[in-house]
Amino acid sequence: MTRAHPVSGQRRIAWLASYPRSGNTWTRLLLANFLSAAAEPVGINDLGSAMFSALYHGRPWFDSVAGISSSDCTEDEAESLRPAVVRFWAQETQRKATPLFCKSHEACRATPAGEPLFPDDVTVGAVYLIRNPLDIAVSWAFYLGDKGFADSVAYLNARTSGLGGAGNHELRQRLFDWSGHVESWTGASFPVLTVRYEDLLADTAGWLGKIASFLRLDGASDRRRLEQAVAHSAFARLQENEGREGFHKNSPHSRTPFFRSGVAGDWGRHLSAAQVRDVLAAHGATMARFGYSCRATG
Amino acid sequence: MKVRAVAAQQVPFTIDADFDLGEAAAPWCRAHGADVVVRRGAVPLSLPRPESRGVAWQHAAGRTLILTPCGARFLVKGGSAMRYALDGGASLADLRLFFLGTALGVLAAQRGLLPLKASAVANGEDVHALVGMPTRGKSASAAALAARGYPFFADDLLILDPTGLDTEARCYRCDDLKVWPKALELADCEKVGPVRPTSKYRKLYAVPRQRAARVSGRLRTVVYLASFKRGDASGDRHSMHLERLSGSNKVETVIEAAIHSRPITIAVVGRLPLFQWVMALSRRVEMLRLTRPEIPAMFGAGVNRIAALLSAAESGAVQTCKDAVP
Repeated sequence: MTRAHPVSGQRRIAWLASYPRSGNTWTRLLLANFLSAAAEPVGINDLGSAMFSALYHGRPWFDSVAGISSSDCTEDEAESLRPAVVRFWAQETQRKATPLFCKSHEACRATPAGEPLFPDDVTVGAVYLIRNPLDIAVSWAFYLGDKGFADSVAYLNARTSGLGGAGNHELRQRLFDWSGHVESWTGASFPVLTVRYEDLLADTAGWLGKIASFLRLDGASDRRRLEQAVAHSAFARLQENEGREGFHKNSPHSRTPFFRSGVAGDWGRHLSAAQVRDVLAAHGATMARFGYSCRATG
Repeated sequence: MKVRAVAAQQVPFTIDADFDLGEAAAPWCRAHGADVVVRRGAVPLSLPRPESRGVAWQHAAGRTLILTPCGARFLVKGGSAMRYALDGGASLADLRLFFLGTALGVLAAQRGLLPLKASAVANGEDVHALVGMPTRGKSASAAALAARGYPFFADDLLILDPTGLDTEARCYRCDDLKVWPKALELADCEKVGPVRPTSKYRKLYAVPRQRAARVSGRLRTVVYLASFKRGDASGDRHSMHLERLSGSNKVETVIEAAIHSRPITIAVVGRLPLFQWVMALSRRVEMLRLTRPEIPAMFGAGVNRIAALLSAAESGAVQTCKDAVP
């Protein structure tokens, strides 16, 4: 298995990347619980402070590191500044042996100024989470609340899909379509560990160990520590946590919890035959490459 | 440059600039004998041996360099002089936007004033500030409050004089209202024109229903606008919560969400003096945290709630509560 670069100098960013609704938040919780190794689980609303992490698209993070307001910039200007912002963050953040984690839903691409949005020189590697796009279509529709499955499928299939932007809490994010997103990350110039959400569900401790090993984290082979992190991040526990205190990441429009079902193959209960055909027509080749079919098991 | 005759004591310092600062900043402008002279000229790309720096700024020996991504650069020196340069197609509108925000905030900090990132409304001498993370609706809420009997006072930058905090929190305004297009109708204000002359930038200058005539006031209340309340498990988030902040929560709120260009201000002022100012401010003003739904259909109800709590704050009768919004 390929491994991330060791943390050294300003090369200290580990990207946690995925198309939306592909298990990114869950993976961050797994890693946060693994890194804390504490008897008590990390609360879902304490994720940011529990691990050295940032949302690469977050306006508050950008503004606090850049020193100027992203709301005064065009989206192109802010985006072109982001590599410098993450580079500065990597340089200035307190030195630690573990990487700085940066979450992103964006495609791995260039800024309007032509520079890589995810700069190689500060990157140790990326954990790329991939999920059956048929299940993403279902999860995305529930997350948005006010959109149907057809809109969700259209979103996955559009080259221009994005998130955030002017007037939004998040900076503009360009996703491409689902296949474009996958190709952009799996073809990145730095080390990338691609993790199928379905595999992570099936053998969570095993894959958490692989992620930890890829990132050169201490304790990567400590089975007890891995299993404790998995238990602390169990879906039922996350749902209970969200039911008790809410979750700041949930969409204001959503009528369902952020941690809704967490299963693979849910698409079979929700998508129409035409919607499944649309997804397969757009992404069949990429799906096949990563072992996805239209069987209900994912 | 249009200059109005204004008593010097109305603003904490006066400015002689070689470009038009706009209507709202007119009370600050003076053609001769101003405290600060702002001129176009050579501005370096970096400072030698910076004491502190960020992506878009550097600070060394009482001088602060601001490098904006639109190509406007500012060198602010000793609280009394500023040079600017325009590169890469930056326009005077771009210059004005960054001058009346980041650059004026730095200038104020160099002169011993505290730049707050806030929109504000007034009621007579009393000023109520709205703070919060970016794009939480501070400007739109201030504009909407102007249609509910609280004249609009300030947008983006509110300059506080920390020297008199033992007796009052005197604050000053300097810029016009700027809102996102989607907020125009919600906030019941009238579009004036684009803030920057590019279709890639969408914020607009707008005129609220009512504007305060005064340039300064007594900061009475700080309302922190939030969109999530831990412990609120209502999945639809159709509820509002009001908390009265106290002690360290007040200090934390101001430092986290209300310091303009925070890393630069910290570099210019210093951590300890800044903390002392914030402590003094937190003792002087009422601070409330309002968690409200982020759904546009709920915006009006949220503003009504803010208006009600400002009224309660003025009479000293704020009640913390959770309101279900129908």
